Parts: sequence; structure tokens; C-alpha cells
Amino acid sequence: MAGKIKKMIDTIIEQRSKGSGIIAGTIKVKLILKGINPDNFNHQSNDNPLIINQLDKFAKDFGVDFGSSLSENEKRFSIWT
Amino acid sequence: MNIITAESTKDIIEDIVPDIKLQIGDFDAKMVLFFASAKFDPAQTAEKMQHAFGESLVFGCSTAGEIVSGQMLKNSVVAMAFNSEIIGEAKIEVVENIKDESGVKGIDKAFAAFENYFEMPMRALDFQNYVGIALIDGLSGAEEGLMDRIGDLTNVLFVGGSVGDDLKFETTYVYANGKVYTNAALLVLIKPKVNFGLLKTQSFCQLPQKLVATKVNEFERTVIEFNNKPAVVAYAEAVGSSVEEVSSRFMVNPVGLMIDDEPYVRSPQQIKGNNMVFYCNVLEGMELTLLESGDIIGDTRVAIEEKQKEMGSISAIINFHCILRTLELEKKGLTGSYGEIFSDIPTIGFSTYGEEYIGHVNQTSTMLVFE
Repeated sequence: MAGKIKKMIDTIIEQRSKGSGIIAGTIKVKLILKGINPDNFNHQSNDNPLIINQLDKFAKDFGVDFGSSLSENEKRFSIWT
Repeated sequence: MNIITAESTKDIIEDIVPDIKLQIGDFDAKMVLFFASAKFDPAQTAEKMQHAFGESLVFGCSTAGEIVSGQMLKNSVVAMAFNSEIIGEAKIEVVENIKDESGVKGIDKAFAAFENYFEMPMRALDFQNYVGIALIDGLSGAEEGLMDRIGDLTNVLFVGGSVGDDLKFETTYVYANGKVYTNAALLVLIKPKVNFGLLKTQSFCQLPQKLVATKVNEFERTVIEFNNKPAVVAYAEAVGSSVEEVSSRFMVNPVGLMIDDEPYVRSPQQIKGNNMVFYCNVLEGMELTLLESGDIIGDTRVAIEEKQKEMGSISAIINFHCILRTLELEKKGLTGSYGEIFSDIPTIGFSTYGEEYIGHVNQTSTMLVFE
């Protein structure tokens, strides 16, 4: 499967920035400082379970809920990993 | 006048505090921020500064050198007083025991206190209406964890510095409400009444050499391997030096985590065996770009001018200025020129052991600027 990482990153940025380009920029910096560079992922990127786990943790820390933005399959995949 | 700066280079704190108080006079200060050489007794410094300014919010820290409008100083105390035309609301929180994991928990506790005071969840605070100052024990090695947690919990930006001790590397202090703390961080959340901005400036150009951290000890701020080679060997190859002489290149050639063409600088501190210890952490997998130092004076002047254009005017600057930049300026005989950049703007600052801006960085100046 592919594309989940990009979707998770986009969700984190969207939910935290609520449309503010400036906040979106700072969230991007925060993610890079945590070790994940959003620019390195696109919709074709493989669903690397290690990175998905990291993003799950970051989302929790950021107070972001993937519930409404991921498909049922993606949510199940997130639990398996 | 809504902001006043003061400085004193008298020998003892018993003379310094009255000197500072005299310069600030009967100004109705809502908040007083001060930076003090580590040569002064910390408990007396905290107590006397609070006593001098009565009901004002008084906080500060020890330094590795001070900055005030027009000058870089040593063995002094500098202060900036703000009245209620500038500071709407402000709350100081002290986070203690930051060297262990209770430090990160302390951030949550501090933020709960902010939420209680400002009656608003930290995640809901508008970053355009609030700003934070973070003063963190510069010998704690805790800055990354604290800044990371702050960034998780709020969109409000915290700017600040790692607190110094005149290059003795023994103990650093933060001061708040008449008390002194070590192994601690001060967080101050401010709701200014005027526009404000943040500024991050460093003076480096990018070189083509890349160093990917392939093996690290994150918690020791140590890189074991770059590009799958012993870290010091890979770094020496990148700078074109022998391993034996490579430490002489640290200040001129740090590395940068490049984000949208802007470096978040990581400065090498020392070699341990074949490992390289940095002044801030490097995560495994991070691609770093070799940097080369440039013109601190020119770049800082341009950064201030651009901020002035953006904001219309600047009424005050708080400057968190890396000690490595100060040492470079001293080596080149340029501390006077650096001070002059701020001669027309009320400014205080100090030479830090690291700078805070979203995360923890080195060889940078981070500034809080008021319109």
C-alpha cells in the first residue's frame, strides 16, 4: 500500500493549522525537527510501518485525531502497525 | 515612553540594583526582564531585583555576556522595563528538574497554569496575539525535549535562550519572583498590547557537502557515523581537513538542518574518539548541510532592517545571541560594531549557550521584537 504517510502528514498540518499558512509552516518545521520531513513523502510513498507508528505518536502529541480523515481500511492498518 | 532599558557595570550587586533602579526611575513597570553576569550572587540578584521593582513581574537569568542598546558588555546587569501600554497580560511559570523526564511533565503543568490564568486552552491561543519567552538552563541538555513539548501543545511561538554562566560551564540560573532556580526553565507567556514579531538570523552560506547522520546517540547529542563512516572522518573529509586538525573548523563550519533553504544550525562541540558531540541533538537519518560562516554584522543589520520595514517601526528588541557568535565577533574585534547595530533601538540581550525558536538551535540570534 502507498500514500498513507502523506495523508497522515497532511492531516496533522491541516488540523493544527486550520488554514493558516504561517502555522502550517511552523508545524512543518516541528515535524522535521522530530525527524520526519513532509517534503520526502508523496501519494506514491510506501506505507512504512515505522514511520506510520511515529506519525501516530506525533499526532497524539499534537492533539490531532485521524478518526475523521482516514478510511476504515487505513484506520485498521494503523492499528495493525 | 513605554519601554526603558538600563545597564550597570558596577562591581557588586548591592550597587548594581540601585543603579538600574535609578535609571528606570519611577516608570510604572508592569514587567522587568533582566540578564545578569554569573559573577553576581544568584540569590541576592533575584531577591534584590524583585525588591527594587515591587509588584512588577520580574524575571531573568545568568548569562555569558550581556547586550544593551549600542553595546556588548561583560560582568554587568542589563534590564528592560515595560509598562502596561506594551504588556497586556503576562504569566511566569518555573519548570524545575528539567534534566530528567519530570521536565517535560513540568511543561504540561506550566501550560495548565497558563490556561487557568488566560482562561483559554493553549491550543486555542492565537499565535498572533500571544508570545512566549523560554529561558532554559544551558547546561541541562534538556532544551530539545522542552521545546518539542511546547510545540506539541500550542501554536504560540516561544523564543529564548539557553542560560549561561560566563563560560565557566558549572551552574546556570534563572530568576523569577525574587527566587533563584537551577536545573530549571522559565516560561513566560505574554499577551502584548502592541504588534510583535520574531526574528531568527544566522550568518552562513551553504556548501555542497552533505552529511547524513547514519548512527547517533540522540540523548548524548552525539553523532557516531555520518554517511556510514566514523563521524569525525566524514566531517574531516567534508571540510577538507585532517582528523587531527578538524576541531579548528567547528566554529567556521557547523552543519545545518535545511528547512526551506534556511539552516537550523547544529554546532560541533568536541570530538570523542571517532564520534562528534554537538551543542544540540541530531536525529538518525537527518541530512545536514555543511555551512561556512559569513558576515554576522552585515547579515544582522539586514535582518533588523527587513523586520523594521515589515513592522513599520521597532520600539524594542530582546536578543538571544549565541555565545559562539560572540566569540567569533570578539576574535574579529567586531563586538563594538555588533552593539552599534542596536544603538537606535532599545535593546537588551545576552550571550546564550543555545537559542530557542520552534526548536533548539546553535550559532543563531533569536529575537523578540516589539512594534
